Amino acid sequence: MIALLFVVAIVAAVVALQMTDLLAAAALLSVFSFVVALLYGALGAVDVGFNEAVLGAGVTGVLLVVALFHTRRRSVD
Amino acid sequence: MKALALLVLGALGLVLLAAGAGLPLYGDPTAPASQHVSDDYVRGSMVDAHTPNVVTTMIADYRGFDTLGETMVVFSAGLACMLLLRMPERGRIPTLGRPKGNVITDIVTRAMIPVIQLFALYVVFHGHYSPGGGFQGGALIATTVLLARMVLGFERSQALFPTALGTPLGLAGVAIYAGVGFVALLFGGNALDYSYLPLGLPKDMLRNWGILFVEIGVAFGVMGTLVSIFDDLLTGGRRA
Repeated sequence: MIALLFVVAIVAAVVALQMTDLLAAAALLSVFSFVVALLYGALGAVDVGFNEAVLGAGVTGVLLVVALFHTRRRSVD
Repeated sequence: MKALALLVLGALGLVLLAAGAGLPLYGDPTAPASQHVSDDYVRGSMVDAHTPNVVTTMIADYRGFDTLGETMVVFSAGLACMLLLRMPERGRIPTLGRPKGNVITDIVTRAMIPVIQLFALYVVFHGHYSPGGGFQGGALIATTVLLARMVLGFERSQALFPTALGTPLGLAGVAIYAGVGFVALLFGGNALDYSYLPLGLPKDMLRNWGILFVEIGVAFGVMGTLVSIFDDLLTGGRRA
């Protein structure tokens, strides 16, 4: 179970790096954070997982999306 | 460039994996982290502060000074964003206006916000017994404001939480935290030693209540700061 979560997290992170659509990359980073939050929960660090779920998966994703309002949606490289 | 970045990242990943192999096993009782004070914390939480959730006692009571610093760091981050992002004279801020307005997202958002806020209050006030506390609860309330800003629009969501209130609320949170510590100092204890708060309760219950006051301060601080960062990022300091 924990190994599966690790695999999903790494896949999400690598795919987020490869994305040229930055909105999709931001969404994938939220997915990554959520999986990491589940990992923390599975390892017994429930308070830390709660933090990661709220801040990493919630607020950070929203802030990235807002930052995208001010720039282009596609990355050039 | 990208290949170089991937190469560096891969090397860094290998270093991390190699370092991770040297960590103690999960749940190892002989790990360094379990050797020194953590045993006292685990045993003392109920006796000292009448709080079953050891994490809460550790964060808000035993290590209360660290958490005061963390709250100040969060607030300082908000101030730094304010300095960097509030440049209204530049005049390149996109007009936010009212989003097109989709009935479904509007209604779902309006239905969700009170539920999330109620859960956030539960997280703050039940932090002694369940996971969470001021930080998580404050961030949850902030997410409801962010949700309203995103879906209902900047102008319409001002009724839920005005932009001008963000930074003052963050400051109020830090002041509540520091104020509790100062009251303990005034009544003869060390700063943040809640057992000296003048409430006329037994020592362990005083520390229990002190944790709650401090958590409320953290919740205010985190909520105000997160909303203020979001608003600065969105509008560059422009007022609705």
